[in-house]
Amino acid sequence: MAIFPRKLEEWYKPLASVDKTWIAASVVIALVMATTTLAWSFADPSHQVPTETFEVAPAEFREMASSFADKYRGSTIPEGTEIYLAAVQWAWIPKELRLKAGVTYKVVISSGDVLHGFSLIGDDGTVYNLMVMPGMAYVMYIKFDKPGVYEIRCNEFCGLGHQGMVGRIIVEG
Amino acid sequence: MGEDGLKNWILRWLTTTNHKDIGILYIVTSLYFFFISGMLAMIFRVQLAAPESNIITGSDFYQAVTVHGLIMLLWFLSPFAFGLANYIVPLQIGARDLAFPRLNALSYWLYAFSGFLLLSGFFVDGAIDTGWTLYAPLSALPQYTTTGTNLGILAIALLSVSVTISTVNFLATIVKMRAPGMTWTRVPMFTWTILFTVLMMLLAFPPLLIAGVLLFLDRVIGTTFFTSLQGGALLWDHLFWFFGHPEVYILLYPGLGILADVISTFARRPLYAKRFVIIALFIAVALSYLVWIHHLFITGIGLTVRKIFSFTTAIISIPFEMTALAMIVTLYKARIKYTAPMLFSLAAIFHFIIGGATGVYQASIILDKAFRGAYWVVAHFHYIMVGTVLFALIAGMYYWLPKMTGRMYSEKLAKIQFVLAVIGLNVLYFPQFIMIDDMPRRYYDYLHFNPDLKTLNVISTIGAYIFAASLFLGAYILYKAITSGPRVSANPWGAWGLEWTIPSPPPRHNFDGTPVIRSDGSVVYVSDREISKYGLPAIMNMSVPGLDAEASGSSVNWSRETPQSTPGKGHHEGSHHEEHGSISPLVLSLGSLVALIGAGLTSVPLLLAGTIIFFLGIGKWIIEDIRGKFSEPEPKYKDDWPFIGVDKFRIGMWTFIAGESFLFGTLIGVYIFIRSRSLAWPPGYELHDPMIGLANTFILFTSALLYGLGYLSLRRGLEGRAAGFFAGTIMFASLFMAVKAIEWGELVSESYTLSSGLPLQLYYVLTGLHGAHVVAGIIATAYVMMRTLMGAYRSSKTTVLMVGIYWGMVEIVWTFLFPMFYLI
Repeated sequence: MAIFPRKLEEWYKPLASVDKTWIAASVVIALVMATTTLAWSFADPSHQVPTETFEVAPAEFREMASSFADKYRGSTIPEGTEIYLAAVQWAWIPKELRLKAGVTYKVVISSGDVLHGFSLIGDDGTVYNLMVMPGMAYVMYIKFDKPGVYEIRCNEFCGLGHQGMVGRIIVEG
Repeated sequence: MGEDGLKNWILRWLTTTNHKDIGILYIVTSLYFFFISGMLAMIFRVQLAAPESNIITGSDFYQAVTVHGLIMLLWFLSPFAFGLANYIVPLQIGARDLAFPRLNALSYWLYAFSGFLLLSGFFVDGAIDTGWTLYAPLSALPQYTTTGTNLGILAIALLSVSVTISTVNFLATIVKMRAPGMTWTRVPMFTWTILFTVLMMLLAFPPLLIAGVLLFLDRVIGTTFFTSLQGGALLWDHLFWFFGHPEVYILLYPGLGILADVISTFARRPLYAKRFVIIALFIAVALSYLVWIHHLFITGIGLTVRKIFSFTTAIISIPFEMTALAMIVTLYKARIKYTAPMLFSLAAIFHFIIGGATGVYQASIILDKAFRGAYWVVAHFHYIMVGTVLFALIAGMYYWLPKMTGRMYSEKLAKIQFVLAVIGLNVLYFPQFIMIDDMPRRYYDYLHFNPDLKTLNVISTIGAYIFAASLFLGAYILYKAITSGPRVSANPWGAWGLEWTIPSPPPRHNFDGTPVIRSDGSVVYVSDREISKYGLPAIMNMSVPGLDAEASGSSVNWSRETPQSTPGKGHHEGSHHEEHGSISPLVLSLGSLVALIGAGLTSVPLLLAGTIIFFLGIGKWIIEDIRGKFSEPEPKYKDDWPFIGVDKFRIGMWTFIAGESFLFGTLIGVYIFIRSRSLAWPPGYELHDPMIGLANTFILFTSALLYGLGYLSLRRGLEGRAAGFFAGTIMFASLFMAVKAIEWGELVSESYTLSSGLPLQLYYVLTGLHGAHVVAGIIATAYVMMRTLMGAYRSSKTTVLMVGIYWGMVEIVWTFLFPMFYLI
């Protein structure tokens, strides 16, 4: 008994309507997917993926961020200041950054202990997203045009308090 | 069933080495893990739908999601597929069993016990709760994680061992055990994809094993591989994702094979462009090792590296697009039979397109950054893992159920299940695409920043319950079919393939006689006598006319109680291992389980007890070998390039060596990674005496040389002299270990321990692992020496050669370690 197909005589049978439906459906889905990929690429032209990094010890960076937080607690950070932002279990140091609208700030981000994530959605919809590895400092340039309150969230699981790890950026007009 | 019958029944399942029994054990065990893992998902979906209710605590939530992820990926999807593979692959290629039946039982028991090891975490202060990616350094810090994390990590390591053993077995089986005429192009797609899967497993699991062991040392002994800045989070990411990305394809491939077979059967035509699909899938196997950096796009890794891996990630979608297209073209204008397996397969392709296309988005560096950590990714991989792989596995289950049980399931109920499953799945996961960047992953309570997400989460949870209902219905269908389904013929689907020419369920020995596939694609079952009378080429060329009538399939008695052998067409003379049972795989695995629980809970008595049980298992194993209980003669089948004249033991051994190379290669990679990121590194000649190292190198090489001389003497029939040489091997290898012990002792007395920095930690781990291999070699050589004196190697010297190859590997590893630690 033949256990392998050899003949293809059934190849040119007319297409059943149910087949037409699902072929059409898959073509439509493929087209939608392809266009949305392109659309999203153009919608986010900022390319905000940091390439500037340097090594720093977590404890040392935590100190830097703490003294930075003490210096600017409750006051607006002037233009041209280098901002230090440390992710620690389970908070951001400083908890709150007061920035001026329309000014580009240089932000240095690193971790004070374990792996964290840095996630921030800008006023133009730009997504800032980073894995913050201990020992590595990331340099980002952030600018807000619209005054308001923006949330910084941790995006990598860092222990039980992970979901409470929320920082704030307050942009003043 | 009387008491005695029950006892025999239990004993059979505990000691079986038959591939069909083990396949069923795999399926049942993986379904058990699936149930647990699915229940966990049900619980945390309720928490996500109603976060204010706090039905579980945050800690419980993280344990639930971690165990859910790990079980689904490592203890359900793959093992379920390998349960089917265990049952079906030998039938598809015309083999009587897997190449190494007892090793197969060993992989199963190691797998089952590793799953229990993971779950045992729930009985201490909590199961593993690090997230399924176990990102270091969090996972390396015992103070932030549960004790169950120790057990979970060890479970992963134990599973890696089980997987490596399966890999050796399946590769040797598919390469060497195919029936005459079962050429590579005729091998069914399911077997092809299993072959590719084990190829990927072979290279992907050693890094996971190493990562797990190093992580465990960090947690328990206090080494600093993942807590230091030189190794740290980035080292873990590299190791984990070098395993993790091929793992995705390891899960996917068996599903694709099932889809191809099922679609070809119910579209009633061969898979379109099968040859090119195979080539495409092979290319994807190779590419699967070159895409892992896309999981590290936002770690600050160099932009050029990102661009390269963005490119390779986009490229790897092409083979899968080809495969999906080939399946769709197979359906084009076909007269499709809409049975339950076919419906599940069609839905799987549909979900594969959605899940696959949303995956291609991640190849883009920018979009990956935007989506990372969002539920978009969750939706994407669940469309692949559940929508594609699980659907394909369900299709495979329904497709082969009549073959495995001899009974048919209820088509009507299965179609209801299908409708429920498709609705449930899409209601469950589609809303998660919409939560693009609002809903962060790994939150058990998201209300504090966005209460609007609740609606979508409630919809998602409703979908989850619909999907669960469909699975419970599936379980009911299986139960009904197995207990009271109508009996079926050998080939209820009118499908092609060897497995459909034998009765349902197949007899214990699978085939009456040797299946020979002839040039016109028909199969004929011949006895050994007929093979020696006519010769295989003549039978395959159809020039033996008398065989045709018997080959029609109607003349063979396909009753359930097929006699063990019909006169003249009996199975291999002298081969009866299908009745063999062995308790040693169970004992050995039980020992591993107890020992690892002991290690995980740092309880010395348990560790010792486990080790003793483990060595009892090894002893039993060796005794069985000496009694020759498992000496199965290899059928003399047609060989294909490049495997001409290579027996299954050699294939198995070389596969094992390849796995070992990856094990040591990974560790050497870790060494290079850490050293290149360290500012200061003491040169090896300052810590260790190169002269002692050199002397020890010569000692080790002498032991291997003596082994070679022993093998040559044995070939000349000089057993006494050979045994003497083997004794010399043992002596020199023991001397090597003694020198090693003195070196370690001196280092420790100078208080250079595991806590004195990475150079020494790497030294201890690498030379320790190498030393363990030398000890295993000594044990194996002692066994060979004893057997030589017993005169066991007068005909076949394969075992001796295998141990020799192993010694060669141990030498080569040392030639890397010596300069690494003593010279530079």
